[in-house]
Amino acid sequence: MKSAEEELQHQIEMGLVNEPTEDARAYQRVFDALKKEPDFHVSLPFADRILAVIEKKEEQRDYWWMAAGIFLTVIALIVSLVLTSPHWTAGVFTFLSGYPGLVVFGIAFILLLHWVDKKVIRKQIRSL
Amino acid sequence: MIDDKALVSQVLSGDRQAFRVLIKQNERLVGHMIARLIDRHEDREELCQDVFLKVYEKLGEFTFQSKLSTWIATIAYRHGINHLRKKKIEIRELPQEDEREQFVSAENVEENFSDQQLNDMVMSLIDQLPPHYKAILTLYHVQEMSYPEIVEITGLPEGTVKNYLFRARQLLKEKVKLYLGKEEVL
Repeated sequence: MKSAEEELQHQIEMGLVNEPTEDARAYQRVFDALKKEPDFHVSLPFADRILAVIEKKEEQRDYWWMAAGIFLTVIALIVSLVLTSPHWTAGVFTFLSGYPGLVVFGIAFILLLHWVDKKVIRKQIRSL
Repeated sequence: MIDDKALVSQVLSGDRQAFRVLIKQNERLVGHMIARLIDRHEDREELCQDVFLKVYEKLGEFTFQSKLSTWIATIAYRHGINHLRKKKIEIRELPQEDEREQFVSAENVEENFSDQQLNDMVMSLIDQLPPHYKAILTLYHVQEMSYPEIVEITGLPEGTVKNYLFRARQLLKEKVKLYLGKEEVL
């Protein structure tokens, strides 16, 4: 069962008070004040700032994934070389072993292409 | 206004502009919640930012069991309370009956005051309430949320939510009565 005070609060909330007592008047003022919003607003570029933080975080995460991928690839390569002790005498390897600089350039060029794709091309597509 | 499901799926598919819309739709809700819980003005905007970053991070886990705004308010409420705990700011309870006199004391009651001053006084009294009470009052009266929504946001039982609302209003009323009493004398 509701107490008299609870009942009064309910009546004020529903706008059912006909003869305002001192308590009812005080409650009315409280209810009116409670409807007021707190005096705080976020700044205008708030959403822009959050999106910038998200973009930065995602870029950092991509770098970590790329670094982890390169690291694991190198480890896998070393392990497979150690385990298989290959002799570079078959087919294309005979050719490549004569041009180690070309191999290094090829790998560096592919990495560069990926970097340009990520940093320049994708960014331009996103901003369209 | 875009519906919750469409908006969430757009954000999850990587649409940044959709997340901008989500922020715009909920920044007042988050701002009000944080402003009520956190007194230090300088911390508020940063905490609001943290709330939206968490929303972005966890949006994939949102299961549409509630409204998106309720879920975001839950994150804001917990973030605010965790901040108070981290900063070792005491999360007080309402004064007990024997301590109430201090809260509703007539000491500082001015003899001449306008309606606006009275409203400001009530607002400053609300600021003095314990954080859980302030949050519940804001959710109920400013955001016009239902009891089940407030229960979901605060994690408190419905009876406790109703009790907090009742006690907080009663305490505020006692203080306002002192002012109105002065007004009548004049």
